[in-house]
Amino acid sequence: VAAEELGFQEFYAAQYERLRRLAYWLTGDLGQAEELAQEALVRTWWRWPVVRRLDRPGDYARKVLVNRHRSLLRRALVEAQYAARLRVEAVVPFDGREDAAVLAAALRRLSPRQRAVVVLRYQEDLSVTEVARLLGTSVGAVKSTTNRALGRLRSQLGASADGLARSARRRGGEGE
Amino acid sequence: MMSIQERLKQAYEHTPSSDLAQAGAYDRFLRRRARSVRTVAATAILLLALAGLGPRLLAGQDRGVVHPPRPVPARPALIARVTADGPFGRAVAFNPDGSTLAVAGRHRISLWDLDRHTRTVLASPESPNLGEAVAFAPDGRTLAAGAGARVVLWDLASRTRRASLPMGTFNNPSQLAFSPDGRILAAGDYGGKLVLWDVTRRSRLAILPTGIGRISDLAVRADGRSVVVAGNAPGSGSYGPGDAVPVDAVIVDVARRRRLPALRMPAGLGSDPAVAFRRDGTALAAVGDPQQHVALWNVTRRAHLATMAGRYPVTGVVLSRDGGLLAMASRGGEVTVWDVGRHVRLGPLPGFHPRPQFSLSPRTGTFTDDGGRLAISDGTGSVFVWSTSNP
Repeated sequence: VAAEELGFQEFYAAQYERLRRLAYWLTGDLGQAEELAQEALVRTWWRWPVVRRLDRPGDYARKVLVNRHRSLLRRALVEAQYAARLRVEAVVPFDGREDAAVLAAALRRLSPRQRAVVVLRYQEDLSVTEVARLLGTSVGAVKSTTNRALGRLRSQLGASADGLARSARRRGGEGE
Repeated sequence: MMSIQERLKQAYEHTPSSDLAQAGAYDRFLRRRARSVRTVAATAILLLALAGLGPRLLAGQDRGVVHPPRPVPARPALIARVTADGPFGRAVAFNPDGSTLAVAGRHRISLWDLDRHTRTVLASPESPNLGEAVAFAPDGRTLAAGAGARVVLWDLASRTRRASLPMGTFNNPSQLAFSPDGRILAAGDYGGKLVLWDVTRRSRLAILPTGIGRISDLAVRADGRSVVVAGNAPGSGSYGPGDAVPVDAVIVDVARRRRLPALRMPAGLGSDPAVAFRRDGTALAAVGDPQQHVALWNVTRRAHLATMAGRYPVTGVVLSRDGGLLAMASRGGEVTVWDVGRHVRLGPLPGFHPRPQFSLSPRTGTFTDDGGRLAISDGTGSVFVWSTSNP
């Protein structure tokens, strides 16, 4: 048991920050991010004897986290009422990195599903197939959600450099 | 030009860290895991018991790992109300174990033992005009109080005055703080100067300008090597009451006698800005603004961490020692307590109906070190004490 505990502690140290980061971009809130990451690790611990023999136990924890996030979203209505009552603002990162703050705010305005797809594909660098498997949906759905999400992000980031660059390219006839 | 995809990727590398969450994450994990073990065990026993009674009851009961619901945060409860020496009884401080509350009146300081309901009085006839600021040393044996343009130190065991230290700045101290090891006493004054003393030798170490108009709060960092101060930005005298006034926080390197560039945090309210530091000296500041928000800042990293929304323009804030609890006063007098880490509003303080011009500051409101109690002076001669039941 002690060796198992030690192994898990190492695993925790290696994964916690990674999971918290993913959860942050999924939820847009540092507090919720910690909650989700801790929850995922508790649940991973329960299956640790099996999980530690997997090739990439980290992927298991990530899967738990994404699933947990999804089931929490099902309670979104309750949460929304709760949040409205408390009027808690999500944590906005202003680490002197304007772009991260702007992006985080834009991401928060996407639907949770769109956000999940964008975060998993472009931040966690997963393939379309992997994202589809994680979210329990089809490859086609992931692709169309991605397109819609990116479209919304572009229109939200409006006059940003990216948008200007794109319209410049379009005018230049390069298309997309 | 970067694409959205590239920007997302880059932002991912710069995911903000949470000061509140970072520390002790693994310990919290272990506690949580232990809790879930107990719950699962309890559920299993319950299920076994129920199985004996009738398996049908069990349908849908077994859902694997059961996580207990979050404890419902308790609302603050009023536990005491003590009289101060007239409207000048303003500054309040708890001793380290939270059993004694010091209330500085104009001519004397009352030490209220909240468990035994007794009062001890300290007076300093030669140094009148007490009441501006008061602080306990971390060992609980020494009390420092502002007395005119001086700071008086009392030995609490013998109730004798140990020292009377001149500020040397011709200004009265606006706030006092000891270093965590108790060796350094720091005073901020109404002119923006920071004065430091060696407590054991009773000698002044330095008078340092901070570039701040008037120091509203200060805290000595754990290593005693720097002090973080906050107050109105310079030139804010030209703002009218009710205007949004920028608040500056400055870290002063004590050893090198120099200050780092000020962190300007947008918008305090009026001439006494709502700003408070976490009392353990890690430079976490809370700033209230007329837009009904309280913003948390890490002054060292110059990073904005979180924003909490109140209901009225925020006129004052106080943070607990670990930064876990925050009391915010709104225009109109309501004071609400927040669990900062969990982003939960614990509710308004019951039984507290101060005058509208009441103002809350780290001088007039204070948490015990463990956050279990909160005392606030209402500015008209009463000090209220609540139990916050901080888990």
